[in-house]
Amino acid sequence: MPANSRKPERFNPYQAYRHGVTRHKALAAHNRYFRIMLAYAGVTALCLVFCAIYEIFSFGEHSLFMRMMFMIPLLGGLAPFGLLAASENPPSISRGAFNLWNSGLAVRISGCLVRGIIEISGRTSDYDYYYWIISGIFLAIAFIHQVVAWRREGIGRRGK
Amino acid sequence: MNRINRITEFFKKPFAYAIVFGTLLTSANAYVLLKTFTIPTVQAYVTQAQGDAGYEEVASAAPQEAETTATSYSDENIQISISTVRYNDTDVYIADVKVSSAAYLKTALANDSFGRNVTQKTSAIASAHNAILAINGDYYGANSQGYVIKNGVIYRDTSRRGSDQDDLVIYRDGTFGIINESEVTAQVLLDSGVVNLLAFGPALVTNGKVAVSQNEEVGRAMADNPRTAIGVIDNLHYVLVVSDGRTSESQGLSLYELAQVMRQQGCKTAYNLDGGGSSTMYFNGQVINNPTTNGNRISERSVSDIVYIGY
Repeated sequence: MPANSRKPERFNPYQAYRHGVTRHKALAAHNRYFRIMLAYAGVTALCLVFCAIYEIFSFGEHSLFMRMMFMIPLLGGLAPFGLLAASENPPSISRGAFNLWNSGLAVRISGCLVRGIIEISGRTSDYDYYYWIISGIFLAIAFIHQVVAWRREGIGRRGK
Repeated sequence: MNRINRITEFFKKPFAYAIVFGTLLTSANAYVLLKTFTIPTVQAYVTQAQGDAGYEEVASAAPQEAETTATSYSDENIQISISTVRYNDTDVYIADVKVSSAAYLKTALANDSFGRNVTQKTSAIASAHNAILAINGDYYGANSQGYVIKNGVIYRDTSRRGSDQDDLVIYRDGTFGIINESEVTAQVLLDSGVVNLLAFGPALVTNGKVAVSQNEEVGRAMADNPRTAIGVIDNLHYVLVVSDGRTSESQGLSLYELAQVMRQQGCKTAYNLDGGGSSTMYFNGQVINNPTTNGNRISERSVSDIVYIGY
């Protein structure tokens, strides 16, 4: 394949920041984390509003799982990405780890939602176990994936 | 390797991963909710012998000379008197029952089947078993754990997960007891003479005293709702109570108020059964309360099981 037939690489601010890195390009990373933070703020608000509306129609019943559902996007998304957006030199996050992390949080939120609906109805179910296990697997793989990626880049090694 | 590369390339497209994952997660949620709320799973069928609970010394059919009115029933073995009282802006239906043998206090399963989401209306189950008086039971089919003992047969022997709720046990001689599933196995209960077990709760009256707190910080306890309860006054003398609720005519009872009603009837032991839209009282072929379904629509809800008086 002739060299000039290759597609030009799309600009990736995280790659740019990693590889050497002018200051104004690194700002794009801050913007990305800020947008992610806003998205998680929206999910957190959505969880709170959903729970409040659901309880209006639940005849006095409530579920701790549904009430605490908002803590997952708050602690798992809003807080860490807020810290990244606020830090001076935020490390890059790989797309794979980012997708897996989001998936883990989504499964955990779904688990709380399903458990809450079942509890408020006065029923019990064993299915919520699967949600906790699967979300734990997603989050663990995302974490390992990102740590490995950082180690490859040299982040976290002594003197780096 | 080529295939893996193609899959990797596919997921690199904007939103491809989110769409695929979102679809899978939504499908999983839908399946879990349908399996929990809708899809029936039959695990066992009730045989004729099981339905009789092994009582042999009692009459098996209603005598011809029974006296029946709109609010009472009387024959040589069963006397039932129903009164309606107004309590806390709520219609409360109280059935006072005296029987000559505990064999006439029975339970029945929807469609004579044990399983999850196997349901029938209280009136349909009662009619199928020629019940004179019936109320909804504990809706065992809503749960995946918890002892289920009906008419002397153990249908489920796994205790309720992470719960210290009490169960009501009815012994062969007709006496009531309150047990905790974490302290005794279903087989031990059966061996000790338990014929029926009702697992909903909580216990409303124990040793003649109200057992629930007025300030109990439990949503279910605090809210006014339709309620169903069963209690024992004396040897073979029972009270079955159903209250309306969630309507403009009746706001419903809290558990504490229900406990007070049971105590006022003279119950030594009383127990809360499945309430809300399930609360139904059936007498002589008719539903006599105003059961609500899906909010305040007057309609009878299908349930897993009933408690009834009959032959």
